[in-house]
Amino acid sequence: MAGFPKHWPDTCPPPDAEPANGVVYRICRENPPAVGDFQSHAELGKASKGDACLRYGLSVFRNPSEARHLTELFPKLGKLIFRGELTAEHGKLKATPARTRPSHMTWWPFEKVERAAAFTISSEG
Amino acid sequence: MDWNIKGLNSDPEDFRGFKTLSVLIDVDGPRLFTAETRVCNALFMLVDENNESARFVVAPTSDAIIAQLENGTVSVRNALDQPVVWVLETDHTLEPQNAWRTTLGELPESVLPAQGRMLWPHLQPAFRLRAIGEGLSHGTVPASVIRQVVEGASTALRKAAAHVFKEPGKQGRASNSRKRLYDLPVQHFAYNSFEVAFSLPPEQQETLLQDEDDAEMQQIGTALAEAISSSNSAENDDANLQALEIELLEALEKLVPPLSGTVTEFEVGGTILGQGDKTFRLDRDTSKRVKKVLQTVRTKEEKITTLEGLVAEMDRDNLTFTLRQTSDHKDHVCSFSAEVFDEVMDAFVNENRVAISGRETLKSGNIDVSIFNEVGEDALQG
Repeated sequence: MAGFPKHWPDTCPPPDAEPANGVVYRICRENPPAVGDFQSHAELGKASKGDACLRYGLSVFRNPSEARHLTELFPKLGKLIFRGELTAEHGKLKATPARTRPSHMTWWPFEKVERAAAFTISSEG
Repeated sequence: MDWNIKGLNSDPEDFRGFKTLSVLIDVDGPRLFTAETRVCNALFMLVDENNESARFVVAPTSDAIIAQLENGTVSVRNALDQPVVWVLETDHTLEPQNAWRTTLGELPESVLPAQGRMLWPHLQPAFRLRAIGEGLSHGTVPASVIRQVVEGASTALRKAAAHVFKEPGKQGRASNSRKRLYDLPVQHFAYNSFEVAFSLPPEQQETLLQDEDDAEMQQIGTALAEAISSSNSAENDDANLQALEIELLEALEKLVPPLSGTVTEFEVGGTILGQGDKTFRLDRDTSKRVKKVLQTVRTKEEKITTLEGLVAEMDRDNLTFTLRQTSDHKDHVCSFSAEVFDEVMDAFVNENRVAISGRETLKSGNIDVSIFNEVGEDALQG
C-alpha cells in the first residue's frame, strides 16, 4: 500500500491535507525534468526557517499564470512550467497560500510515486 | 553558481542570526522575505543556489517600501534597487559564509527579477503605454508627451470598448458603466522612458486573472492585441490592417508614435492583452501604415459634418449625447472629449441649441465631435 516515508514527522502531511486531485503546475529547470526538479527541500538537504512539514512537500500551483510570474521573478528557479494531473494515488495536497497567493499548494508525494511521470511541459500561463 | 560578484568584501557576521519578519514569496521555501539584521531591516531575495550554498540579494528596506511592493506601486526590482545592496552567500542552514557590498547594476541580469514584475501576478498593470525617444528621462519629459501617453492609452481603450460593445450606437443603462473600462486608475508613472501604467480596481484585478473569459476588460484587451498584431504583420503588407474595423484602427492610431517630435516608438503591454504580459513595440513605420489605411477607410466610411441641433439626451459616463431637432432632420449619437464636458452639460441643462462639427460615420450617422459651440441668440435670429 502506498505510504509516506517513515522518517517524516508524525503529523506530516498535516491531517487537513486531502488526497491529491486535479491539475497543478510545477516550475522546473530541465525538460524532461531532472531528478532535482521534483525533490523537496528536505531531500535536497536545505534548511528552512518555516514549517518543518512543508520541507517534505513540493510547491505546485493551480494557476499557471502564477507559476509563469515566478519564473520572471526568479530566473534561476527555472523557466519551464510543467502541467500534471494528480490523483489520490499521487499523495496528498493542501492549499498553502502565502498572503494573497491563493493558488499555491503543497504536494506530499507517496514514497514510491514516480513524480515527474504525471507531468508534461505546458505553454499555459 | 556561474556568476562572479562585483563588489567590496563585507563582513558576513552582520547577517548572522537574521530574524525573518515576513515571508512574501514561498516556493519550495522562502524566496522573498523581510528580515531584521544587525545593520538594518532588509528585503532578502534568494537569487541562486546550488548543492552547497545559496545567494541572496539583501537590500535595506522600510515599511513604506514593503507597502508599495504589496499594493503594486513598486516592482520587485525597484524595491531591491537601493543605493547599497549586499550579496549574501549562506550554506543551506542559512549560516552566512560570505558577503559583498555592491549595487544592483553590478549584478548579472540573469539572476535578477525582470523589470516591471510586481510582487504578485494580480498587481501587474492591466494596461500600460511607454513612450520611447531620445532624452525622455526623469525631469525632462515634456508635458505634451505626458498628455500624448495618458490620452493615447485612455482613448485607445475607449475606441476598443466602442468596437467590442458597439458604442456609441446605443445609449442608456446597459452602457452606463463602460467608462470604468477605459477611465482606469493610474497605477504608476515610470521614467524609463516615459510610461503610464493602469490597474483595475483591486477586486476586478483579481477577477481578471481568475475568470478571464468573463472579464469585459479582457475582451477589450483581446481586440487591441489583435489590432496591434495586424499592424505588426511580418509580410509588411496592409491587408491585415485593412480588415480591421474603423474603431480598432482609431484605437491603433492612438498607440503609434507621431511622425515627428521626441517620441519615436511606443511600447504597449499589460495583462489585458493576454499572451503572458507580452509587450508590443510600435514604431514610425507602423504609424505611416496605420495612418494610410485609416485615411482610406475614413474616405469610404466617414464624412465631415457640420450641424445644428438640440442636446436631447446626455450620457455623462460615456461622453456621448443625442442631437435632435437637427438641421438635417435626423437624430445623431455624438461622442465628445472630456474637454468640452461643461459646455455640453450646459447646453443639455439649458436646452440651448448648439452647432457641432465632426466626423460622421456614414453607416450609423454617429458623429465624433471635434468642435462644439452653443448657437447664440444673434445667430438664431439671423
